[in-house]
Amino acid sequence: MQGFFVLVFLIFSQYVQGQSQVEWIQFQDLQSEIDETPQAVFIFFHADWCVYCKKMELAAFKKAPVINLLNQNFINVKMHAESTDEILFDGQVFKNREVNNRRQSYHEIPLILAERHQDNMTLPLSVILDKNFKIIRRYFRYLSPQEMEKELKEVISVLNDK
Amino acid sequence: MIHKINFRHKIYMLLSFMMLGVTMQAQSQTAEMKGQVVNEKGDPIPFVNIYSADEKVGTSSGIDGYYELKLSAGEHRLTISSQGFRSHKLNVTLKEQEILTKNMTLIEDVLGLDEIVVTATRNRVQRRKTPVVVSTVSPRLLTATQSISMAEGLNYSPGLRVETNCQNCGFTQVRLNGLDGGYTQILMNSRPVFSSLLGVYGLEQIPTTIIDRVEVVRSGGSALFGSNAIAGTVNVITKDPVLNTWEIGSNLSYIDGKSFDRVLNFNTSNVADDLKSGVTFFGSYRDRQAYDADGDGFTEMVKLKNNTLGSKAFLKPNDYSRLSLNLNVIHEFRRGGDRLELAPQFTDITEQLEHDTFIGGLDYEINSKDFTQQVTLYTSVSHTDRGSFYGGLGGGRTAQDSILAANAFGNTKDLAWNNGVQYTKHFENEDILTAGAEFNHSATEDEIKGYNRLIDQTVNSFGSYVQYEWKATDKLTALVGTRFDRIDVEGEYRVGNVERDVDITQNAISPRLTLSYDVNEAIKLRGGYARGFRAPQAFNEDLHVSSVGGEPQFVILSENLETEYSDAYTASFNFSKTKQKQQFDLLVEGFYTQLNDPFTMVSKGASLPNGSILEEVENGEGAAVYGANVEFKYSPSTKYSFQIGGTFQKSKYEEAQLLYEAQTGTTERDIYVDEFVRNPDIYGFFTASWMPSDLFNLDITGTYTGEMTVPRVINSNGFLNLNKVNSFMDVNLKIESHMHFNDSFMITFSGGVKNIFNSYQDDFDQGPERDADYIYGPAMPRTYFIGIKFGKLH
Repeated sequence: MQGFFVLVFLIFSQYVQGQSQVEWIQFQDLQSEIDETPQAVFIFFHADWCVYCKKMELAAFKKAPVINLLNQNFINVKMHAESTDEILFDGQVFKNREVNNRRQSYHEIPLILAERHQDNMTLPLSVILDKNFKIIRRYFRYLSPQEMEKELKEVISVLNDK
Repeated sequence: MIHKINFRHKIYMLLSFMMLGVTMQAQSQTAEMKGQVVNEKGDPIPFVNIYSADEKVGTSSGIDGYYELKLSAGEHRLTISSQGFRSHKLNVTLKEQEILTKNMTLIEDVLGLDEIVVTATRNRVQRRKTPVVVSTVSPRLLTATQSISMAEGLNYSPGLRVETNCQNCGFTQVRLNGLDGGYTQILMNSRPVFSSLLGVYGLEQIPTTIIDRVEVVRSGGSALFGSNAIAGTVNVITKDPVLNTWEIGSNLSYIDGKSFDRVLNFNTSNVADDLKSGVTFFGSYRDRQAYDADGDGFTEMVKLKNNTLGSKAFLKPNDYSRLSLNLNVIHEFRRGGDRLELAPQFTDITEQLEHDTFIGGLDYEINSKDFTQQVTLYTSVSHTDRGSFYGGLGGGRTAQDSILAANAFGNTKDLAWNNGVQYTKHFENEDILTAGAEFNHSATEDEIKGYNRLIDQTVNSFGSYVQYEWKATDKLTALVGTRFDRIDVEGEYRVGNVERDVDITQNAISPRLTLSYDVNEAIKLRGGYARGFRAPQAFNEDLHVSSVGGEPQFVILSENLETEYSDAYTASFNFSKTKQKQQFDLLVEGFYTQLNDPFTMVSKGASLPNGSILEEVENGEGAAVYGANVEFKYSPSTKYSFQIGGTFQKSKYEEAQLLYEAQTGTTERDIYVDEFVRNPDIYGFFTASWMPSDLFNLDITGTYTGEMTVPRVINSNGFLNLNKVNSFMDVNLKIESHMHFNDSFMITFSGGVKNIFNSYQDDFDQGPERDADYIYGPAMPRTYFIGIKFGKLH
């Protein structure tokens, strides 16, 4: 009997502490998610060769405060920047136009979201958009758990002010 | 009409809005530029940035490639850029109210040639853009050739050959563009801590697991890196950690079906989540049995036991500075000769060496807030304690032979201490100024009491350098630099009854000039001149005692040895192109190096009292080495890659050079040469790799060594024959297969054959009176190997 309560307690404490990982979805599923519940979106772009992306996945995205802030306030999308999938979004099809022409071939979606005046596409790339799909913040660099937590808190308070 | 504003338009509008905001702040824009941006095939390129640096306004081309940019009248410097395409700079002049239509074509960026390298100008620069040619030996290449130590991997760079010079001790030399080991400076992380002694055996002691890449600059290194670097520099750059990883590996080789070579290594890294601090530990253990090629009881490859332990840590106190510490210890035991199971003094020949080396370094880098200025301070030290035995009964069995053998133990202490400071400034017009100063101290004490042999040498050198990289035009870059060195050598050299002293202070100025010109996007021409010098001192090969004709052979500096100077000229043509997924790179480089008063070893025969052979380092006849390096790389896709390189060269002494001076009272005559020995006229390498997936790859690699002349001692007087030896082609095959269990664990199996055709020297000298220096060609016979590596993320 006691064992049973301990088990129940453990299961509940898991929920009380928060989930143990970020609830990522694919970009393909983003349209239906925001159609259902318009919400701010956090997109993380990565690639196989991007060592700092891997570091973020093992550091920032594994820490409880960051996980909770992300899961509770955003729809979280993780996308491989060199994906060759054809993705339907907002009535248009986006694909990887460079895949047959170049070795480092980026998909149109990260290219569009990464547009800058003078600099080229770099990874890791984290993009935060509000519920109207307007870009609020973009980070073209590695973010440590502390930095990520601080940035997320600031963005969330800006979003809530609106 | 319902106008659907979709996601892409939203972004476009957002960006345009941002830009509009910017343009409204600028001066009144009365002129306009517009047009379409296309690629080489004529397809429109969307989202191309067109930006004016003068007015800080810009725009982006639309989905159809069309753009419109409002500018004020006057001159503008525009930058046109887009991911994957080469940045384009354009100057336009607009009149009031002018609407200029300008269509533009952007060219694909060349890939895979964007490695960042450090060596050419001592600053981090993209390899393709360096004014001086830098070749890199990448970790992939070191793995492809199953190079256990750096020495093996270096064969796969144009103009470079690594050769074993001694069967009894396995001492290796790097030969760059035809010049031997003493002309190349070996650096570790851009610091010259390879002291003379470490240079003798050091190449084999660096395990490849810690090497991030090796950068080779052929000729012209002297202005930035010090006096030795006449042929060039080999810069070993070790790895910087990012992820937390661990790896354990083991490799077993079976040499010619006779001897085993076992290696066990590990490395592990831990980096803080904020990337502000990190540490790597690595270590390796190697145990190689001796190898006797011709069954005469005397080794052709030495018994080798090596333990290396190292660590590298970094700390970033803030965003602008970085502190780095590295510590390495190496313990090595080598033994060659005969009857290795006996104590050295009871054998006919033994060369036994035991090294204890410590290398440590600390550097501190600080940047200005805008990262345009940087100051680096560094200090490194390497200390080696060496116990040696060079000797043996030499075939004799008298009491005198025994006493001499028992006294052939020696002791060496070697210290190298290197400190410096460097300042770099990046100007707005892309020019770069680099200036620095260095102070090096090295002290070597090598004593073998039994032979009355002593080398007690201290070298203090102070160097300062300045270099300016001038971007004269878009296409032309000039690199002008000079170095001022003051070298102070104080040494006492003794062997047998010969005693020499050197006390010399030398000032030298080494200028350097390099020009590089971009004919077009694909073709780059480079040309340059560099001056180098070597102050008289005992170099690594002088500390080595050979055994020839049953006698020990010593090296001593001659009296009144003068500084050697060299002038090096290079010119090269580089063609790089990427067409869709194919990559193509061709380098043709010509070199001409003129040596004045080069240090040359002249054998004086058995002129020491107990019959030992003496070689003197003298200033030889002027000489020139000239030739061409060609390197061709082709990769049709990410699955295949081919590389082939070759060097064609000639070396010539102005006057015939004396190699052996016959003693009076013998019937022997003097021996002269008019070209360098141990230098093939043609040599090269190739690599071919097939990488069908992440899980499997196959590599075929090989080197070609052309015919050359190798001297061979044929009697106990040290008298020589000049042998013309045949060419070699050694081909290696390696297969690798990876298994991913999960993100944290992966296993790699590898196996293959080195020197498949067993292209190996077949005329070794035999017996206790052999010439142990008569060794040339590929470093090992046919060798089978298997390996396994496991760990997290490699």
